Amino acid sequence: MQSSFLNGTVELLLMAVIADGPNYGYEITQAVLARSGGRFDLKEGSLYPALHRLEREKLLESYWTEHDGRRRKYYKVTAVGRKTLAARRSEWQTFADGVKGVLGLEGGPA
Amino acid sequence: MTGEHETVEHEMGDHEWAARLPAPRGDEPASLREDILDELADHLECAQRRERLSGGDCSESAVWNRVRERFGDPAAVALTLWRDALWRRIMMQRFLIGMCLFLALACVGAMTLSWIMMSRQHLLMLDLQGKNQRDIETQRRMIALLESRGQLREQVWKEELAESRRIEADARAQAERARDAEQRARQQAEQQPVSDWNPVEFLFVADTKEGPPLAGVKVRFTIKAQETGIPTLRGESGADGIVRFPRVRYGIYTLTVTAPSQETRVDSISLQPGEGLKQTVVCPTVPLENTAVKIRVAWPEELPVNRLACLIDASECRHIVDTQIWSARSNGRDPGRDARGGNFSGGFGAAPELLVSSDESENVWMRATGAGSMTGNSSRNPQADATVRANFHRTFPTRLMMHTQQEVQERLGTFVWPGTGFEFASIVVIAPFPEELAADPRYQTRPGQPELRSEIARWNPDQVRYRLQPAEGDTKTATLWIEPQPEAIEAVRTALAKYDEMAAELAPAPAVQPEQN
Repeated sequence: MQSSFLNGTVELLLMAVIADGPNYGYEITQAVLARSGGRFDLKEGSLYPALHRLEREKLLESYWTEHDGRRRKYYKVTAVGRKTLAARRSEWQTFADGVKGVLGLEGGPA
Repeated sequence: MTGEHETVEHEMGDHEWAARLPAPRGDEPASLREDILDELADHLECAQRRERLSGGDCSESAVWNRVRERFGDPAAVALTLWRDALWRRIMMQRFLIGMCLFLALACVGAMTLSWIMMSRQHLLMLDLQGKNQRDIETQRRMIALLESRGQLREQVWKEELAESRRIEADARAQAERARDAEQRARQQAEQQPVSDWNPVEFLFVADTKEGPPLAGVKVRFTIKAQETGIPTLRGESGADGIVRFPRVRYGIYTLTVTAPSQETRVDSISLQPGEGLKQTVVCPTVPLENTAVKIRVAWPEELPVNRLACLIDASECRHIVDTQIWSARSNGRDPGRDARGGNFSGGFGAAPELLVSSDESENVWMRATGAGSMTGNSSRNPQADATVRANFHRTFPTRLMMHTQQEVQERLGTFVWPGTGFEFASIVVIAPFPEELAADPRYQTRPGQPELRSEIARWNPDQVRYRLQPAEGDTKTATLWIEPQPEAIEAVRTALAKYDEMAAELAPAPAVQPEQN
């Protein structure tokens, strides 16, 4: 799959994953890969700048825990992040329906 | 597993890729760098476990390579995270640095500009100071000059004061001498009473005051007051040029001097009681030529000569000798005496005057005082007589009669011209009043008798020249030409123009209403 399709949607994917519960970086990447059916096999390192940007925008917040002698950083969606996620989900649904309709795929607008 | 894990821990603990991060900044949060490294290290640890469990090559290097292949360059990711975290602060710092540089440059520019301005102002101040210094020097020189002038003025004032004091002393001395003289005179007067009879002495000299004594001068000294019983004193100068009358009473006298050249001079002298008289009289010595002449006026052609005539006092001619007027009789006989009477009904009451007309008949008009009829006794030129007589009848307080030169010579004697240097006292130019003006009642003193204004100019001696034309042919009479100068001619021309202007402006006379009985 062309990685250009993911431009602008990575943050939406990350927030959707984290919205299910607090999670840390590696697990987030594995969840995106698993929930996309292995289609979104992204560079793992590229997720971190997006996570940090969402945190600076107050859409995510983080905290540290101790695990096997290492420090681990967990992310969770803030209340603002949830509202933003809901809005972006709606937008994406509308966009996807439009794309499907144009491409003649199932689930497009009647 | 423990050994492999230790290798990874070794790599991660060394943060070999972490060394590629920039040097710590002063404003960097203390945990930023550690948080980034711990987070990425946790991820890489989890990824290594996954790769070990995947069943492939389990060597550490292979595992690490696969982790790096899927993760990317950890150092680059760490650097990106670090920059993203500090981006705002870095940009703010750069902005501050830029601002500082800009402010520094602005300060430097302002200082440079200020320095330039100060330099220019300094130069201006130096120039101004130089100018002020020059002004001060100029003022000092002026002050020094004024002081020197003041000293000079003071010196002049002192000299003037000294001179004034000297003059004052001289005046006082003169006043003292005058008082002494007055006192002596009073003493003499007291001793010698004032006399009504005092000596009078005349010294006659030739031509100039420094000239030699002149003999043969005849003197008549006549008191003017009547019924005094004092006879006329007469005398004649001798070789010493002196005529002395030892006892002359005070009064106003007429001095009549006749020089050897027969020129005469009349003067008035006042004698005060107790005072004598000593007077020097300069007399002419050049013999008179006494040329028999007829008089003509050299009129310029542009003037209407038929309308013009000159009235000349023919009784005597003047001669200036040392600023004094001497007279020479211009005809052989006494005109006043000889011309009186005759066959004129009026007669002459005084010395006649000659009226030199400009017509070709060369008639000479004589003016006489008194009244009388003019009819039929005046002219051999009836036309000219009628015209001129009518025109001048009301012009003068005297009557005019016209005679030929020969008649005048017969009655008055031949007119003689004393010689070069003589002149007539005055010459009056006469023109007939224009007929249209004479006929206007406004110019008549009484209806029917025109009031004519015929004297239009008076020529002074310096406005004419005299030229003697010798006798020609059988005639023994020369011609004396009176040549008016441009100023004299202009005066006549202006007067005639005035007459013409008056005639042009003349309004028609009002019609006379006939009387109705």
